[in-house]
Amino acid sequence: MFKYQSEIEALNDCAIICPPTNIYPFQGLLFRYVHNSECENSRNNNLPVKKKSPNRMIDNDDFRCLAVASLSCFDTYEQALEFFEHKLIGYPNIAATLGCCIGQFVVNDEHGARTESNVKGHFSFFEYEDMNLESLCETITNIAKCNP
Amino acid sequence: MQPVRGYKIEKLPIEDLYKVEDLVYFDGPLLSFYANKSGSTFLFYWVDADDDHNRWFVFSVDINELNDFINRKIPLITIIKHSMQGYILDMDKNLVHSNVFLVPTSELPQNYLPKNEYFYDEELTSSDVFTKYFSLKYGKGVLQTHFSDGDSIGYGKIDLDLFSQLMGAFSGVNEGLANSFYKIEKKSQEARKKKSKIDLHEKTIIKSTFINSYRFEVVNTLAASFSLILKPIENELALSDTYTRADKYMEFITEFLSSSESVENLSNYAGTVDLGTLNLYENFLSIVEKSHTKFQINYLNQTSGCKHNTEIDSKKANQIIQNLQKLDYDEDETLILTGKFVALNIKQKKYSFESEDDKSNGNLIGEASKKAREVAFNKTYIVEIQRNSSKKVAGKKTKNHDNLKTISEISESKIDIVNNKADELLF
Repeated sequence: MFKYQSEIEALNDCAIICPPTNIYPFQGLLFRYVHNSECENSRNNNLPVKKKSPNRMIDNDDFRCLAVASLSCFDTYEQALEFFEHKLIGYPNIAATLGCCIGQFVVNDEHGARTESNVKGHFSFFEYEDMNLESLCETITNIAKCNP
Repeated sequence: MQPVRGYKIEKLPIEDLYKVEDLVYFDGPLLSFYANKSGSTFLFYWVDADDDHNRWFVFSVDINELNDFINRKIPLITIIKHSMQGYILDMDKNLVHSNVFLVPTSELPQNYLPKNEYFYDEELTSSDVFTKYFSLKYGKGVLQTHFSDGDSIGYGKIDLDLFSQLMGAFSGVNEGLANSFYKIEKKSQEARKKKSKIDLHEKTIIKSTFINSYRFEVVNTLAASFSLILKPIENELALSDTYTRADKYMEFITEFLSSSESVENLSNYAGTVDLGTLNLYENFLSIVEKSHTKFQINYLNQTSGCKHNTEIDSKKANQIIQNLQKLDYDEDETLILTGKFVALNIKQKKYSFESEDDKSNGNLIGEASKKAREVAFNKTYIVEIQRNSSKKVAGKKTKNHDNLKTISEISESKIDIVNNKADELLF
């Protein structure tokens, strides 16, 4: 069972395949953007896009499954940083929505399953039931100015 | 969030907005392409967020500039600055708009603008975005013919002579393949009708109503290298998950073009695509090969979900030409044509006949050789012709042998009815 099983089942009822069929259990490190714990927005840390408040999810059917049931992650710290820095050129306030830090998490195959990563090292991680990613955080590195 | 200098207005003064595509997406959209029913186009550019709202800058965009941005020719800042003004829009967690400001672009805070070096860097292509845009705009499928490579093609330009040759040849191939597709559809309908014991209430396929499925009109040109956006003249209503006739035709044409890359697959079309069309296709391919052009077609009907792509570059064109020359072909068919005689030689039993969409030259046989003595060149006739088309492996050109079997005169007032009947008689 996945952490957001009821949301997944609701999509399945609409004939949407979720999670993708090619996900697999994963053991190792994953990196994702998080807000500094002092930020109000840290309440959104480690939540799927659709669960965040406020969220930028405006009716995109292509991402419905990922938005309700998965977390965006990167294979390495460097890939996460490079991606962030590129977005920062286009969206100077990007830290306000993504977070100003990169968190490093250690997971094993009882914690969740992942998709293959793309060329930028990005993949989606589907947490299993009762999983608390927060508790698996090893380090948090600040990469941008945090919002107050 | 930062205060902005602008005029607070009650609501976003843009009606009937619909989303075309999220151009940049990470944990939700960051840059989205919208249009409205009046034909205007907009970008929603994410600029800021606080605990309760996401803030967007919404501005009008010219599709040619957007195309240049997606093709990485200009940075995002260029199109933002050209917009002169836009709307700052705060959206809460329920996606309800609040705090709408009309803001001159020059008054936007520096951190609400992308850096000069921010170019598009996503996987979506200009073709993905604009076939979707035009398909949504017209509520039907759109075809993009795209030409690239070669010395005569640049970004947004193409040598007129090459363009005329390519489009002229492609138009011929299209006409020929459409005729083949028409025959397949007609046969398939006849088979359905024979098989079914109940009345299918299906309108009989006739050529005059079928023609708009494969006739296209140009609706736009785009730089990329050089692209034409076309839409079928057909007005068949597109329904979700149900292909229109134009969709099915585009499926047929793209499958044929892709299949021609192997002799085995190409030979499967021997019974359906006539030799004249194969000759036209060979002519088109030789232009692609000689000009070192890459030709792509992308078709999308966003409503029905029909999507097809294929491409032929000069190397592939050469391979297909070889495949076509290996093809051994011998086909008999019966044609029912309505038209006029343009030449007759009673003594040698030769004739020349033209209908609206075909020509035939050959021998008068049987009853027709007697009836030919009564023929007048200003009168309209319906004729039955037996055509044998053949091409041998080594031979480059195909040969048609026509024998005219029957001739019936028809009055001018019955021509339309007979045309339709002739379509049906074919099968």
